[in-house]
Amino acid sequence: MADVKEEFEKISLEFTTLQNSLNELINGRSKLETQFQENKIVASEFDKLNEDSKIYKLTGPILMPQDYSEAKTNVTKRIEFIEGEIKRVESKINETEQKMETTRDQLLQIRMKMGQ
Amino acid sequence: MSNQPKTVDLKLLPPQQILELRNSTEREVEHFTQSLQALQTAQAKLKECLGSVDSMGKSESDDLLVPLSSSLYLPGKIVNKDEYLVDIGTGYFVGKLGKEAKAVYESKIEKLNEDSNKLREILVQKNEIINSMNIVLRSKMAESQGEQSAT
Repeated sequence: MADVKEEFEKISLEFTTLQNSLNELINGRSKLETQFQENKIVASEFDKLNEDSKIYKLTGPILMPQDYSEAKTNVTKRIEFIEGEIKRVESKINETEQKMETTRDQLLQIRMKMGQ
Repeated sequence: MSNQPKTVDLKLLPPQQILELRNSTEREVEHFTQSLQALQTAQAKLKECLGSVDSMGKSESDDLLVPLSSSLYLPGKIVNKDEYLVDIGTGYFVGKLGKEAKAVYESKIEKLNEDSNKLREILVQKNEIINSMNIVLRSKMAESQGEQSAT
């Protein structure tokens, strides 16, 4: 009986850690989404500009003059990077959700055993 | 009827579950209300920028005070009244004429308007759902009380 109880505690602990990491992942996912949207707005703004536009980048407290094509490729690259990150985090979310599912099943089984 | 399974199913759910559902919907409503407020603050800031461009165009004098800190200013003169640097996001600033700068802000305000309208619609829907849940809960309570007094 003590064994079952120990296992129950172990698995429920595992379950809460999984839950916490899932929450963290979801937070990260929504932060990435915000960045993604902001970068998309910047990219669409760049589409309306041309080589003659004066572009500056805020680095610390000062504005640094930037080349149009350079700034544009930077933003495109960043969007690609963020898209990759979103995919990575999403697959991790799926993974964690599946793990949670299995631990939940295990918990239910043990609870049934304990009830007997 | 298939597009509103929630209202259809509601009567069949046990009260406990309806309560849980109501709580989570209330949390959603809270979250959306906060987002709506954030959108409105952002909009107010953009409108302020529009106003600044407008008043700059109207003002006759070239003098202004340049803030070095929140309590220290230097007198300055505007060299070119129709050239602005507009923040387009993620730290990028672009040189624009007054008219172009205003167009940027106006389109952003328009976008925010659309988003807030969408949010408002969602809020109305969610509140309706909460209301119908409350009605079902109340009728369920009346039912169980009626059963108790009948026996």
